[in-house]
Amino acid sequence: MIYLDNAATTYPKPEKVIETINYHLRNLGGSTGRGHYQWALEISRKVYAVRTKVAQLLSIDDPLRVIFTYNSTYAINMVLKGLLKPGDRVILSSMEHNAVVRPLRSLEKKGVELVFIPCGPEGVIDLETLRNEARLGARLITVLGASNVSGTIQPLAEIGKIAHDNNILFLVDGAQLAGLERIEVDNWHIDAFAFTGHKGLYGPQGTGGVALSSRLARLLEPLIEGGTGSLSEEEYQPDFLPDKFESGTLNSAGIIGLGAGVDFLLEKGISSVVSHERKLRDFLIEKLVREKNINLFGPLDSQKTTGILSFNIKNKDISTITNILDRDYGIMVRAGLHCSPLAHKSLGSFPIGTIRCSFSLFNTQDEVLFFSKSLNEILRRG
Amino acid sequence: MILIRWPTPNWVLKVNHILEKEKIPHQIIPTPRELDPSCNLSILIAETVLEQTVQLLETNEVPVDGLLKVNN
Repeated sequence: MIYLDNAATTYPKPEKVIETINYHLRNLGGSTGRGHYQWALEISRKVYAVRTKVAQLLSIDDPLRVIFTYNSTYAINMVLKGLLKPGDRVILSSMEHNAVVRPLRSLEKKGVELVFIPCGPEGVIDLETLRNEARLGARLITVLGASNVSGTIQPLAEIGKIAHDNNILFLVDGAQLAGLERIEVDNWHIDAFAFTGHKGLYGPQGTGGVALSSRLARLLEPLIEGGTGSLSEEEYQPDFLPDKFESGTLNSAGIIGLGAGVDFLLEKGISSVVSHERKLRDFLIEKLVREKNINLFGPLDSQKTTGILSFNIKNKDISTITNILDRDYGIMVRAGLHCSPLAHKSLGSFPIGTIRCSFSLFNTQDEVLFFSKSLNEILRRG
Repeated sequence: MILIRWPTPNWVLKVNHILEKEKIPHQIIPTPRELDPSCNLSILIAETVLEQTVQLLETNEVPVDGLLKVNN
């Protein structure tokens, strides 16, 4: 079987991740931040160590500004719904995933104004339009760090500067970016960087979080409240981090597994991981451009992207093609809109959508070659 | 010995991390309930490293909830 859907979730997971979770589940009882006995303390220490690793990865100075959630969608909802009030203006790119668009459309019904900034054919945000809209004032700028459709990476440092210069808060949906690019949350004036654990960080599903700036952390209302393992005698939610936003028992086995994923990534080196993915992307582009009926979407220069490539085929149903790839060749890829109708509209692939191939460190050139040969065979069949 | 307490185990863990890095001997203990009804944790250090510890806490912007001299 060949798995090319790593933008959905990376597979396989590193052995170290599996072993770490296995060890945790077999040998350690207790919950992080609850209890004084040695197992509870060991779990708490390990979860804290993961905060420090994530803080290192995202270049933030205080690990307690890393809030764990269950995925990036949860983290994004936490920020949008905890911050925005009727009358607020939000500026967003036209490449956003439904993780951002749906909660914002919901808030729009309650009086939040949305301003969409167009993106060029490669999916890159138009900085001049953004600058002009930012000058008019807004509560928040929100941008998808890297597209889950085309892999396009946005110029976050420049967007952050525009947000900072205009005193606007800045949220980045980093689901597809964390683990694949150098990210400097503090230096780039990012107030919230939402990440997921099970994609580029090679951790298990059900992990993720958000790195918050101190100013945004003060402004945000928590999405949920409850037990935090602190100030137990009080009936009101604590206002310090990370407790303010981490009610209920954390997924400690998952988070500790995520830590092992981050270790794996740092051992391999982020630049070598992304370089490997880009080589596979280039190799696939080289094969696909030979097919005259294939339309590629997003940048052809893989240095501007993560390891994602989207395409569709003239007069062919993409779902039928991916079904044949799966059934007859054992190749798993995704066809459709990838929960991102807005991005497909920007790239020109709406409403048909695309076949999306997305790579991880574990994919090989032979797999990509087999994919392109199989696709070619299906297209020749007619 | 000096007992230092915070309102959340997360700050205790942060301080534990800092002290481990600086190789300052310390111990995490349950906060005695007569001091704090919060089911919290505290850190116990020797008086000889108090000044160094307080400096580290200031540098790392960790507010302290309370300092208390205790018998061994």
